[in-house]
Amino acid sequence: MGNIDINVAEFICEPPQIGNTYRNVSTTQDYTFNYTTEGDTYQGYGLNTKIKLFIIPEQVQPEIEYTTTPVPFNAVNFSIGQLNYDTVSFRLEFTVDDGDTCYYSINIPYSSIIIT
Amino acid sequence: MANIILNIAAKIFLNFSPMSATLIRETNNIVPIDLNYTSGTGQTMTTGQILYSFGTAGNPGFLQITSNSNVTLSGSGSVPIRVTSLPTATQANQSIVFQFDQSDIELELNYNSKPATSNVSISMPNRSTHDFTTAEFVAAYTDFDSDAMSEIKAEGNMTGYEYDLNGTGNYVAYTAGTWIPVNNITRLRYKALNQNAAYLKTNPWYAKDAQGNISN
Repeated sequence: MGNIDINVAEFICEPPQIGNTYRNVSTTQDYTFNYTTEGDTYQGYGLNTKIKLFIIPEQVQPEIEYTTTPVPFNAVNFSIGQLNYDTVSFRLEFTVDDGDTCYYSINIPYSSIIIT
Repeated sequence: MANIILNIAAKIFLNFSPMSATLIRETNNIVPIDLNYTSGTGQTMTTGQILYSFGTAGNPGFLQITSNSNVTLSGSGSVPIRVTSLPTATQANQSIVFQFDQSDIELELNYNSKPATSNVSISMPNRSTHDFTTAEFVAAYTDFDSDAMSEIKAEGNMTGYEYDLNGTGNYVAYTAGTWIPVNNITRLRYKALNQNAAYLKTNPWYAKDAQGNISN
């Protein structure tokens, strides 16, 4: 007798690695943040996985929220709009919306972005 | 002078029609057969009377043919007999001849094997859906007679398994034991649980070959 053996992988919430940086950014353009993960642990998410972009300082709020459908995904686009600050930093948050069991906050090394 | 006169009656032989039976290898077979005859002259068979025997009961290779009723053979008719056999895994088709009341009985024995199944191993990401393929099951199927796989079924707790019965894209929960034609295997899928932890889902599966034999 044979069996059907299905091995379902554990979900491992690893911090994504942000692949690109921007300098001399425009105040009106869209920005694409590419990221990769180790292995394929970000595949197989539920469809409610979300990525949020925060722009620091917080005065730039409200937050811009991007909901990914379908998964897997490896890039997100955010329209930042007018920025009036000489220096800002960005932070991406990856949240798996399955009961808040996985949450990561990524700080993009953008401590001295020059706004042109 | 007187003579000693011996009147010796002519022996009238029974005529039996050739018979055939299909037996399953590695399985205890009990196959009833109606043995047709002509030229019966009152011979009798009794229930359980051994007409032919080879090997040891319960051991691979055992073959025995017995009468299956108390009957008197008169004129023409049929006698119910029974073939009991445990063929080996590689038993070839054969024809045997044995006698009853000095008359030959010819029995052609054809053999078929149940198909065998091995494990179908699937690895899938967390919270994803796996659509089964025909190749996954064909690769885990063998048949001694090279009979093609005709249907499959799975047993056990089938939570997460879904089947598109009519091929319309309307998936419903798969019911354990439901036979799936080989051409419809791609309508079977498994949806992983909504949980982070890894797990192994195991269900026995069975195959039916083109002869209708079901794997153990």
